[in-house]
Amino acid sequence: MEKFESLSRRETLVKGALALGAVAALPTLSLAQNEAAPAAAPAPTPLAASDLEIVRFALTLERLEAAFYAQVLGAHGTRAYLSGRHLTLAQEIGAAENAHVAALEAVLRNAGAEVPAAQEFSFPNNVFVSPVAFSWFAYTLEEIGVRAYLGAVGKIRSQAVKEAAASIYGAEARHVALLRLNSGNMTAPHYFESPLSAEQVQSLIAPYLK
Amino acid sequence: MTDSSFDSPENGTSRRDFLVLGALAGAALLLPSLPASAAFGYGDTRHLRFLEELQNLQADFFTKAALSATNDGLSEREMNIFNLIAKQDAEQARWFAKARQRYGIAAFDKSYTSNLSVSRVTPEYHYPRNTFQTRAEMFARAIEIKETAVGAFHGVVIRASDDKIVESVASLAGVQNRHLAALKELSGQNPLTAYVEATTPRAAANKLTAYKFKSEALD
Repeated sequence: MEKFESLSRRETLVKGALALGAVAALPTLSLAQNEAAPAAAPAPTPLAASDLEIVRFALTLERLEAAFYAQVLGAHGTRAYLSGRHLTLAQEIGAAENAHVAALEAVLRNAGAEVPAAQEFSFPNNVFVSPVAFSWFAYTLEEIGVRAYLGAVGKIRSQAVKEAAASIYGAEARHVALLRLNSGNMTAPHYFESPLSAEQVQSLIAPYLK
Repeated sequence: MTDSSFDSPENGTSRRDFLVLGALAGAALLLPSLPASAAFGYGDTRHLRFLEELQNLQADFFTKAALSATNDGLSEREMNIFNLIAKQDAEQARWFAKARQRYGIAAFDKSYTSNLSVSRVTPEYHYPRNTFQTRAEMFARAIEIKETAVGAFHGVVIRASDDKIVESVASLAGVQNRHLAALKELSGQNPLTAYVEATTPRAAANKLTAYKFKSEALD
């Protein structure tokens, strides 16, 4: 960890908040939110504008994913259409995405930046009735997340944000693998991940933004 | 979305949107390009060399795992995963070897000759005697090695100086994460609770010395 010895306290807090989110467990959600508590927070030091743009974009993606799993679990509560590992994955990955959302919001607050208002999303109807459609849509959505983070990682200037983004990126890649593995698909179709630009990601997720 | 909307075929996102998403997500699969010339510093050179060594070790281990017949057997799904990982780790090792040749990286490493037409002697690794005898032992070693690799890849992503090297290594790191998740899932461990900490190449190398990992790329 020699490279982090020179990091500022604020950078360390940003890193910590994001890393906690990447741990992907519900208990960390409150910790991540506590990072933003005004009484304990140091004076905010802005991140570079380009880094803020990347964090905001990542937040939109994480909110989209979190909303997807929340709506899936809501639908399952009504019609019990998921079973076994599909259901536990929806629960566990949904909790991880919630933690990512909280962590990214904390980063923006710690940087003294405005947190975008909550967004609404809509998804294809069949993902709420068919386990196969759920699984396919879930890993496609996660795959877009992986490729979006990959497209951004080389452009991040803040060392703390880069480390945290790398950590979340790894978590998203593991989500894809589990969803693919448990739906009978090849865990990793290629020996590399392929990046997407922000414009490509925007066009892919546009149908689901209300 | 309200529950009543589930019953309306006309409501919400259409099947066409669903298909568009799949088509676009599958488009333009490209490994991020490396810099045209070796304008990056010695630190990044060492990173590339270290990860090549790491991938040589992983390719060796997972090839042996894929070819082994444990006493208690593996399921077809487990065999498929070991085969996939062996293949992809070998592909990643070849990618690093090509990068080394492209940049003429040789002088920094005593294991390499400056004459790139001369092949290097393939390193020989050592694994504990029981490693490939039982399913449990093989999964334990596989997860230990893969977890170390994921930490090392993440460590390079956050330490590399050149943006294109960061992207390229991150591109390979994603697949390492997929491998780790699959191994943990199949072995009965929870693949989502484990947080993989980025580690320094030196720390990763130290963890792998028991396998006779060559850490001279870091010297």
